[in-house]
Amino acid sequence: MPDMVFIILCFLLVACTASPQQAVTYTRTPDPLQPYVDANSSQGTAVAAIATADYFSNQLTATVEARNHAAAQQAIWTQRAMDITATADIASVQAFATQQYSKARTEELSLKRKELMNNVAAIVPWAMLVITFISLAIFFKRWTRVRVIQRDPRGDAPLLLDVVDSVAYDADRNPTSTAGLQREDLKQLPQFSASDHTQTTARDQMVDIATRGLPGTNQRKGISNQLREEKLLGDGAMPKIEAIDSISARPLFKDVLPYIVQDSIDAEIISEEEGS
Amino acid sequence: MTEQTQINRRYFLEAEQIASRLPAFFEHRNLKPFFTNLFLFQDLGMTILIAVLDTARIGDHAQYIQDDLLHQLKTELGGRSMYLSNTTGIRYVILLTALPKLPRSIELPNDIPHGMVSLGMRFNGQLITLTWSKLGHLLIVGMTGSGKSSLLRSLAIQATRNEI
Repeated sequence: MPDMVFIILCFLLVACTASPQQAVTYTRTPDPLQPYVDANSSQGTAVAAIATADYFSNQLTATVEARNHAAAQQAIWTQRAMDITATADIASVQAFATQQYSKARTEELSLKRKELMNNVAAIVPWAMLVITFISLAIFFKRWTRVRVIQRDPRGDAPLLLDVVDSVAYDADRNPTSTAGLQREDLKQLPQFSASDHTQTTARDQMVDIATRGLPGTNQRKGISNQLREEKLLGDGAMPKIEAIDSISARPLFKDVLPYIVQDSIDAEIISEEEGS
Repeated sequence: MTEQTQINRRYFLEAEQIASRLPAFFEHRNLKPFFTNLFLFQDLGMTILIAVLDTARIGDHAQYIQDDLLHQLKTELGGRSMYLSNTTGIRYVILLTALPKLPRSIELPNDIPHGMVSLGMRFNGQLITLTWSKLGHLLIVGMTGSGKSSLLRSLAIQATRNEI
């Protein structure tokens, strides 16, 4: 009995030391159909997964195919575009070549025109100069030979002085009615004699005397006074040239004689140096 | 007046031309063209015109003898040889002909008087003679080819002729 009690006590003691246990929870008894339901659900899930996989697989396949197709289409269109571009390029090159030829031809013609104009521009001024010179020479020759004599208010023709040949020409003393230099018929006029010339001179002098004092005289005097003022006619200031013998002249220039001799020697030396 | 007839008329015309240009030349430079004489003559192979200024009327003489004036006058007259003679008065000596040319060679004459020595010839052909006593010491200077040896040779010949 004690053992029993002891054991009971032990049990009690153990019961006292043991922690209070939680409340017991009750688990539901598994549904026997649940595995089947779960299995069925798993199968459905698997089927759905497969379908999903198939979908994505198809989707991927479609995408790849689409890309391939697009790439192929792009390649085709690229090729066509290149073909079209090549055709266009050939046409543009031909057009460009035509344009360049046209330009080159235009430039060539322009260059030829400029060359012609250059020659013209080079020749024309000289030609004009030569023509002008010849024309002036002809006019000058005619002017020196043929001039209208301007008579003074008295009707008297002034003297024409040819300073080259030292010839003085008085138109009023021309004994013939007509005179010329080139026409042959004028050159066949009869020769005039010394008597004719004297009579013409006398008539001219008589006309001068008769017209003296008429309008124009003052003008002549004015010109004469003007010339006198300009010392062209001289006013008697310059003495007359007097010829003297060398003996009388020697005292007048004997002081410069050495310079003359020196200049002669210098001129001789210079001419010898230039000659050598 | 016998000399006048010997002078070619061409020189008279030239002299008149020059004379007619002188007044304008001087008046243009504010100088008085007072000339008393214009002499024309021939000497030493040259025909010369001398224009004598009236020094009593021209005033300041210095303006008439300036080198610039002479140069301008020479240019005015076409580069003729012109000289100024102003030892007694003021005269412009204008050569109407070229300067006389020196002879290339002069033959030693045989008619040189005894006791005389000839040293050369003037432009007019006259001999330059002097006595041996006046010759004295002699220094001959000249360029190569100018005739130093020829002169010495002529002196030696003349000395031999005079038995010196």
